[in-house]
Amino acid sequence: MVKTPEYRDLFPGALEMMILQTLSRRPLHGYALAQHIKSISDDLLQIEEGSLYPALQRMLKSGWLKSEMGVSARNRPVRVYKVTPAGRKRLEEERSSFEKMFAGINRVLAMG
Amino acid sequence: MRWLKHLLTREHLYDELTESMREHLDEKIADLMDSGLSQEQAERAARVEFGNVLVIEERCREVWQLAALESLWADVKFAGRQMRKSPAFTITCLLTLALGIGANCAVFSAINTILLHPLPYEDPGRLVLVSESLPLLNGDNLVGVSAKEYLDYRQQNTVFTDVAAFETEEFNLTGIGQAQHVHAARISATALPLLGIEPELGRNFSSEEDRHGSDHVVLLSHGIWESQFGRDPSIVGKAIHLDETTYTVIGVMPSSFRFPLDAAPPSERASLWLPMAFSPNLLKPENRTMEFGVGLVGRLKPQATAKQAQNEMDQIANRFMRDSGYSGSIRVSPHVLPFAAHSVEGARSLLILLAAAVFCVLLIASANVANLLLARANSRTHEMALRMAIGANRRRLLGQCLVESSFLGLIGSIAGILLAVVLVMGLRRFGPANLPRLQDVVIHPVVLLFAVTLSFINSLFFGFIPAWRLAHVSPRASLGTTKQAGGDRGSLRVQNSVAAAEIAIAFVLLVAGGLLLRSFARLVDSPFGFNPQNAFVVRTVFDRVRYPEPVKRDVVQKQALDRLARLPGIEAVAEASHLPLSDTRQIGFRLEHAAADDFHVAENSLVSWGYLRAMGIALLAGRDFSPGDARDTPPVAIVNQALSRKYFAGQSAIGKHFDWGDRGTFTIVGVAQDVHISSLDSDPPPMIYLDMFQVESGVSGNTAFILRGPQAATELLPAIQREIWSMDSELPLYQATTLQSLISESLAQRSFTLVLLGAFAATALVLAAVGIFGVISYLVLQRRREFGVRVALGADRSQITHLVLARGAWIALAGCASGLALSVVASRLLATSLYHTNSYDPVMFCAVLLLLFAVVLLASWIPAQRAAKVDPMESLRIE
Repeated sequence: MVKTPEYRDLFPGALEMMILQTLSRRPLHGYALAQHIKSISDDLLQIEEGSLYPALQRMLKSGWLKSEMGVSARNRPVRVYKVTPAGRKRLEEERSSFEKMFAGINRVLAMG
Repeated sequence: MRWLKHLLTREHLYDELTESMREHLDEKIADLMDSGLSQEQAERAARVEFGNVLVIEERCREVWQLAALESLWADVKFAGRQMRKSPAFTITCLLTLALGIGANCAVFSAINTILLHPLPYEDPGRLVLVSESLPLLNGDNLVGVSAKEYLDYRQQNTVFTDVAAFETEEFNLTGIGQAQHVHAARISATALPLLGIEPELGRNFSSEEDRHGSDHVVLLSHGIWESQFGRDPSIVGKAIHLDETTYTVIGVMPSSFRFPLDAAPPSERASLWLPMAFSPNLLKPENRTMEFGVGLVGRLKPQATAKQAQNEMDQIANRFMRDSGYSGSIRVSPHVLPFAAHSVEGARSLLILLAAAVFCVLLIASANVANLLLARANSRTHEMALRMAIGANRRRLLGQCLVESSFLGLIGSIAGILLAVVLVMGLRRFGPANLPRLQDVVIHPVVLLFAVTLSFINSLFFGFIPAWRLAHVSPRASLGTTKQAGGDRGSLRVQNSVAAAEIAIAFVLLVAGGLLLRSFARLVDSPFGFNPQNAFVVRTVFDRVRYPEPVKRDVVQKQALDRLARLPGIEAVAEASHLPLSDTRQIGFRLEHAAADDFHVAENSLVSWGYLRAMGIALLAGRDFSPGDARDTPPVAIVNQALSRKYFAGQSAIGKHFDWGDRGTFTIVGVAQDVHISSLDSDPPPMIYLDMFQVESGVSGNTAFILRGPQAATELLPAIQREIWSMDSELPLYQATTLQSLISESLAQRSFTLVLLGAFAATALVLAAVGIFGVISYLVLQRRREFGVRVALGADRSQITHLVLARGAWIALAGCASGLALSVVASRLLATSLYHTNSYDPVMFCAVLLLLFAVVLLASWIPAQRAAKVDPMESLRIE
C-alpha cells in the first residue's frame, strides 16, 4: 500500500501558519515554497512536497491566498501564491494565539 | 454564494492546479539534474519526493467539492459509463429485472384486487353468503335458497345482525327512445342498510314497498341516471317503464355501488334495483321448493363466527326440512361462505396458478441477475485490484460498487414499473371479460414496493461481491501472481447451482404450460355437440305484460321466425329460451312409475321446431318438434343422450314418459346429441328440450333467435332489426353474437391462462438459456489457459468442445432432476385445472426434458466454440 502521510504530527493550523508566514515575505510558486519550508525547518518536517497542495487549495478557497502568474528562479513562467489582506489578518491571529500557547507550554516546562 | 462561484470556475481551477503541480515537478527535475543526476534519475527522484500525483490531485479537488455528493455523482457517472461499456451485460440485466418486476407487479396487483381487496361495502369481512346445494340432485352446486327458506333463516337465526335477499332480473326499459334491455337486481329493503350504503339521491325502499303489490319503485344506478336521464336532479318521484309497467324512481345509487358483486362483465351489471317483494305464490307452503335462486347475505354479529353461523344454518335447515315434509331427493344443505370469496370463487385457482408461475419467473430473473453479476464480479477482481494499487481507497471502491448496483437496480425497477403499467393496461383490455373485477385492477403500491425491494436486494447483494472479495484479497495477490488455471472454484460452484436452479424452475413452468396446452387442445378438439360455424344469435324478450296471451305471443313469434327465415342467405331459423354456454336453467322431473317425491334434475331449454337443425345438433333417434305439437296436443319432449343413458340404459327412450311439475306428463319423442351446457370442460349433463309453442316456461319471456347460413354474421343485425321492429318497434334486440364467439368467451379464461403461462414459461426458458450461457462463457474465460495448455499438449479441439458441452449437460441434468421432482408436486396441484389430461403425462415430461437439454446445449455451444478456438500461444502469453 502507498503511504499517505499528512501533517498529522503537527498541531492544527501549523502548516497553514508556515505557508502564510513564508508567503507574506514574498510570493512563491509551489516548488520554491516547499524548498523554503524544508530548509528553514532544517528538514525536521519530513514531508512529501505534494502534500502542500491540498493545504494551498484550502487556503485559496478560504480567500487567504490568491494565485497569479509570476517567474521562477529559472525565469520560467509559473503560478505563484500571494497572501491576501485576509491572509495577513489570519496570520496575525494565528501568530498571537500560537505565541500565547507557546508561552503557556514554556511556563509549564519551566516549572519542571 | 461563494460555492456557486467555485462550482462555475472549478474546471479552470483544476487546470490551474494540474499546471502548478507540473511546474513544481519541472523545476524540481531541473534542480536535480543540475546536481548531476541523469534526466531519468531526476524524474524518478522528483516523483518519489513529491508523492502520488493522482491521489494529491484528488485530495485537492475534494477541497473544492461538496464532498459526499460530488463523489456520489462521479460514481454514478462512472456506473453509467461502465453500463455503456458492456451493453450486452447491461441490457440483459435490465431486461431480466424489468421482466421479473413488471410481470410480478401486474399479476400480483390483479390478485390483490380480485382476491384480496376488500369489497366496496362497510366492514365486508363480516358479510357472509348463505346458499344451499341439493346433494341428492346435483352435488355441490349452489342454487341459492327459496323464498320461504329465506324467511325461515331470517327469522330463526341468532348469529346475524340482519340478513338480506337478492336476485337478478332483466327488464325492458321503455318510454325513453328505443327500448333498452337492462340488468337489474331485486333486493330486500334490508340490503342497503346491511351493506352500509346509502343512495346518493333519494332514499332506500321502505319495508312496505318490499311487499308484493306495492313494489313499483326503483333505484337507479349512477350510470343509467347519467346515460338515460341526463343526470336529471329531479328524477326522484318520476316514473319509468319496465316491461310495460310503471315504476316510480325513489333514488339514485352512488357510482361506486355494485351489487350483486359477481363475475358479470360491466355490460351485464345491475343498473336498477327493485324491492325483492316475493310473490304470494312463492310464499305458499306447498311451493317451498318450487324455486330456489334467492341469494342470502348476512352480517355476522360481532362475536359470531362463520362456523357458528354454519352450525345454526344446518339446525334451521334440518328443522324446516322435518317440519315442512321435505322428502325423497329434495334435501337441502346450507353453506355459509365469506361473501368476498364467493364473488370471486371461479377466478381463484386461475390466479393462484398465475401467481405461482410469475413468482417462478421472478426467481429465475433474480437468479439470472445474480449469476451475471457474479460472473462480472470475477472478471472485475483484476480491475478493482488495479485501481486499489494506484491509490483508490477501499471505502471509495465499496461505495462505487454500491452505487453501480443500486443504479442497475434503479433503472431495472423503473423499466419494471413501466412494464407493469403496460401489462396492467393490457390485462384490463385483453383479459377475459368473465374474470371478476378485472376492470378495478390497478398497480398496488405494496406489491410494487415488494418487487422493487427484491430487485434491489438482489442487485446490491451480488453487486457487492467484487468489493467484498477485494477487502479480503490483497491487490498484490490478485494482480501479481497468475490466476489459478481452473478459476475461482468456489464462485463457479455457486454459479453452477444457480444455473441448475434456473433450469429446474423453467422445467416446472414448461411442464405446467405444456399440460395446460394439452388440456386446452383436448377441450377444443372434443365435440361441442353443436355446429358453431355460420350461426348467429340475437336475444329479445316477449314479456308477459306486453304479450299476456300465450296464443297471441306464439303468433308473433312464429311470424318473426318466418320473416327472419326469408332473409337472404339464411338456411335455418329457430328460437330457444336458453342457449348452451351462455345461460342455463334446470328443471326437476319425475320419471313415470317413480315415487311421488323421487325427483331428478335436468338442464332445460324451451325451443321452437327446427332448433336442432339451426344449432347443428344431431337428432339421433325419433323426431323433432313440429307445428303439429300445440298447446292442446299431448306434451312431448326431446332428451339428450346423457339423459337417455342415465335413465333408460339399454333401452330406447322414445315413447317413455316423465312428469314436470303441474304441467302434466311428457312423452319423449326424440333423442338428440349431447351438448356442453354450462362450460366446455364439464361433461354434458342430462338435458330436456321442450316445445316453446306447447308449454309455458314459467320464466320471463327471454328468448334467443338462432339464424344459420353463410350470411349469418354481425352484418346481418340491421336486417334482423328491420324485420323485428317492423312487427313491434318496442322489442329490444340485444346480445347479438355468433355461436363461435360463445365458444371463445367460454374458453376465454382458459386461453388467457394458457397465453400468460405460456409467456411465463417462454420467458423462463430464455432466462435460463441466458443464465447457462453466462456460466459457461465464464467457465471458458477462466479455463482459457488450461485449454491453451491442453491444445499445446496435443488435445483435439473437438475434445475441448466436448469438455465444455459436458459441463453444460451436467448443469442441465442437475436442473432437470430437481425440476422433475418439483414438477411432480406442481402437477398434482394443477390436476384440477386439467381437462381429460394426465397430470403426469410422460410424453410431456420427456418433451420438456429434451427441449431443456437442447436449449442448454445450444447455449453452451457458442462458448464451447470459443473455447475450441483458443490460441495456445496467446492464452499462455496472457499471464
